[in-house]
Amino acid sequence: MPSSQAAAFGHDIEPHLTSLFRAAYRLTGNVADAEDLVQDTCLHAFSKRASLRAATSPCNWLIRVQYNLFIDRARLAETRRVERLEPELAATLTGDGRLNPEVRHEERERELRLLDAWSKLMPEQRALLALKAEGHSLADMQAITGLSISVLTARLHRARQRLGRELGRNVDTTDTDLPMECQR
Amino acid sequence: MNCQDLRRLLDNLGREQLDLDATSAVLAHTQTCGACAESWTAVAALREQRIPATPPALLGNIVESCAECERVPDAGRRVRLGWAAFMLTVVGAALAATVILVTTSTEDADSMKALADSPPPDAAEDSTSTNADGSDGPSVTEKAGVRAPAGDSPQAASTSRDTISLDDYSIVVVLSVDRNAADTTQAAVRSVESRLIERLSAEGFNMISGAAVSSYVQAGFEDVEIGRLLGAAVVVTIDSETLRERPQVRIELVDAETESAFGLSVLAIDAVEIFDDFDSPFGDASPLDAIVRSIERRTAPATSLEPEPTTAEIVAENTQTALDTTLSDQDRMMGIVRLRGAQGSIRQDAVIFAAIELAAASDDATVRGTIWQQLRGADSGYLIEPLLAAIDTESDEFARREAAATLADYADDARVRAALERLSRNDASERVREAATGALLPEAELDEMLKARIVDPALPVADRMRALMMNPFGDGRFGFDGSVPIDGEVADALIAIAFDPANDEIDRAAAVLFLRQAATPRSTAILLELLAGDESARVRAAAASALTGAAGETAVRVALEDASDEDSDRSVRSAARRALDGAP
Repeated sequence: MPSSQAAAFGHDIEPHLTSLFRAAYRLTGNVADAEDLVQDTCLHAFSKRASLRAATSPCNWLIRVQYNLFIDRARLAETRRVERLEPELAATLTGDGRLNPEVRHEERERELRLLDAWSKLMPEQRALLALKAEGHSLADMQAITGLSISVLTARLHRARQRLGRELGRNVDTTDTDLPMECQR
Repeated sequence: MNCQDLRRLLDNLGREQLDLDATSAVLAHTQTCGACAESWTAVAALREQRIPATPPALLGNIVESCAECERVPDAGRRVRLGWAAFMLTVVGAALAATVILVTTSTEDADSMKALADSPPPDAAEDSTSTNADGSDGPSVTEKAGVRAPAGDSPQAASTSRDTISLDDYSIVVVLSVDRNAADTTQAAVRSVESRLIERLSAEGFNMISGAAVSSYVQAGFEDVEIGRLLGAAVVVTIDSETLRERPQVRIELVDAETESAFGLSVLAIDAVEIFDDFDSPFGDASPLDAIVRSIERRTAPATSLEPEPTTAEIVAENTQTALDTTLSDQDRMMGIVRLRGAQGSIRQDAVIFAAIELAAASDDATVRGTIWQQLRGADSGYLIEPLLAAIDTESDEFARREAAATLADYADDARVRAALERLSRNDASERVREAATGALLPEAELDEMLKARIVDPALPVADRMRALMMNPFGDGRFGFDGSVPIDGEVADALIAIAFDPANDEIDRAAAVLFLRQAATPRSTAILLELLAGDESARVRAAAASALTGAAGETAVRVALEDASDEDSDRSVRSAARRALDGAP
């Protein structure tokens, strides 16, 4: 039976759980590691819950803890790589029910290519790109990472180029180069 | 849309859809620019990535874990032992007459961290450990390994650089404030410390400083040992010294594992930096920037954080910076400084025009003067008019002087000569007049004039050394673009300066460093003699550095190996090791 403090903490973090999980999934590349990362983040946050409640933006506060945790672990692990997405997990991806099998196969292939390229990035590069892909503004990212805007933009630029280069290394995909909204 | 526009768009793009106009502009640009196409490919792939739904059981699992954590209070927390427990560990280790090496993994680090976290006697409340996550979020930086001091006194503790695993992102700052120094000196040392900590924290480093470090210093540990004890791969030492009667702050960067110094900066307290001799591939205007860059460069290869940028990348990035009118004058100036450092001189017309515009419009005299300085060697006819205008209208002495010195590149032009002659007679500032006089001299004549000063034993040694560094103006800045050629006569003068113990140590060391350029059997023998027997560690270290080019010779190699193992001073050991590493 959870204590009242743990239950109250659960109530505090619930609105931010999706953001944390999405960012964690982008960072780790698979559901199991993403769950672990979010859990550990929340455990750290639980021990500092007074700070969490006092934070101006609880979501950014939690993301910052998760960011630091990810970076620290990645630094220690150094060579840890993102595991490839298992085929059965691909089926759990949201929103693919309306796609026919052929399209779904292409989607999965594309996802695997992205994860392959993603695994070749440095942890910091993954972390910054994940935050940006989750829609965080530069100001948010500055608060989360503690980096200056000029350092952030320079590192984002390098990370984008590296990921683009890795993606382009194995694939000739004129039709996957651009997001859906650009193909109209 | 150009590259800069696209980069700005991507930096500010959230999860919203792009409108059609923006999409068309992006498509048009990416079809013509490979680098931007790569960036866009990355962004597009990430925007299309499909993220699984949050597992429904996740929240329940988290709450359950938190409840468990409450039931077992120490679970998941860092355990802090008191000093008494720390001492018990030390005594235990002494009884066992062994050195305990503690290596931790991320998961089971708690008990080991207790040792690292145990503060020495007076290191409780005011110790500083700053993490990139700042004061709001909890720090989760963990030390990869720590070693318990062993023996019955702190001095008995020792660390092994062969086996310990140190955190590349942890930095120990060892501050040494001379209580007898002037208040301004003490304040400057502390100011440098706080600025450095603030800056490196912002760059993501885990800073360990304050009482957490000073108590180890008081207990007699060496700087590098403190770094190893606290699990940090880098030690920054900050102290003060007096050079030519001017108080300075001295900042040294030391690799705790190898004991090698990999950066040194000396800043004059009363004005600007006297010199910094970081091994930097391109120019840095601020010593603080150079320190950060040196540490980042040291860290990057160890963890593959970021690949070392190629010259082409540096040029591309800094060209953009120089041309970006939305940036501050200082940022654009830094772009120009780095650009020049990367490619030797600024050759692109677009950058030259941007630099001229910046030098003409900036309110900051340092920016204006630095721009004129960085345009030296650009060899562009477009510069003549703006430089002539600058020496006529510039109110700041530094900026005017730099403009005059850069005009030396165009001294064949009759108008330039006339203007410089006028300036050399009429300018209110003696330094500007001297710069104009120097600019009018042909290079060979200037070398002769400088050489005459260097070899003149009647002149003060400091003046002779300034002449050696092609800075006859005595303004405290070392070095323009090179030095006077070291022929036999100059080498003899340098040897005499180096061997006279009555001379200032810094002058002797500088003379030794310049002897490297002589590269004769005689100069090698002199350097070996200094390395083996000089009383000054600074001179011995300089001799070791100067022997780098000759380290392929057996006698030199043996001497350097001896020095790297046996010299009593760390800086000499470190210099000898670097010389061996850099041997041809």
